[in-house]
Amino acid sequence: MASRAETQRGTTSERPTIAAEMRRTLEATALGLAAGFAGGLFGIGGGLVMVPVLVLWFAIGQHRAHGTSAAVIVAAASAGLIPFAMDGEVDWTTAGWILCGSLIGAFAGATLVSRVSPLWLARAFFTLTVVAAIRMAV
Amino acid sequence: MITIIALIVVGLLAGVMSAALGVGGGIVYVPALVALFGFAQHEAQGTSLAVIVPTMIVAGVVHGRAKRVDWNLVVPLALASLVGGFFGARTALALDAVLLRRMFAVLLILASLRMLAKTRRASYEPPLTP
Repeated sequence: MASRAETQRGTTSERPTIAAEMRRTLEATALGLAAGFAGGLFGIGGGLVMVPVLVLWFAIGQHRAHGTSAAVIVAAASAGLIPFAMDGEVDWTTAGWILCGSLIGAFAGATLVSRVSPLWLARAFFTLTVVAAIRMAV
Repeated sequence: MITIIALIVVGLLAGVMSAALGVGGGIVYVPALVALFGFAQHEAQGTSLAVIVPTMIVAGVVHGRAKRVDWNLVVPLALASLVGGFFGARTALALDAVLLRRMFAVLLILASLRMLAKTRRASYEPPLTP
């Protein structure tokens, strides 16, 4: 899917005009609003919305989409954190312990991104989300 | 002690997933905190955001050094997502916890469906060049 989108847009974006760049900036603003809102609403950051749109619509590769999304989520999650923190809905101690694991995990994952088996990670992710969804729906 | 180790393991798993699959930060923390650690929905989401900020700073630096960040897109995306993120959080805080938890369950199903294609070995075979 990604490669198809890339070839389609590749032909039109050979000579980017000012109009095309402005259009891309407007599209990015719309995506930022939507992904940021979803990220703040669900406490997830917004990569779930952003990565597929960056790959399919903005036609940047999968790896670049992950990197770009990570940088944007810093802003989205910071803005979302403020209202939660003001309402006392943040358990900082718990966040600290999860952070210990996730910092190591994020660094290892980003460094070994081409060596980690995405197949098994995707399978683990699929199983975890389905089980959690059932538990949270009832 | 067991709780602390479990929290670190949750973080480790989610960290690897978020770096390698592009998702797996909050989509793992929130259900884990609710389903395994008995957190209320709002506190789980607030705590999740508190973990995501520093984690994504580190991930962003690693990706940035590897030239995997499109800075021309980051500027408008980040500015708009500051506004979106703030009002998203305000909306969440105004919602009832049970409603928010059920909405999150729908989000989890959508996330799992998006991942479905990647769970098949065939999707990792090199694409045919025209």
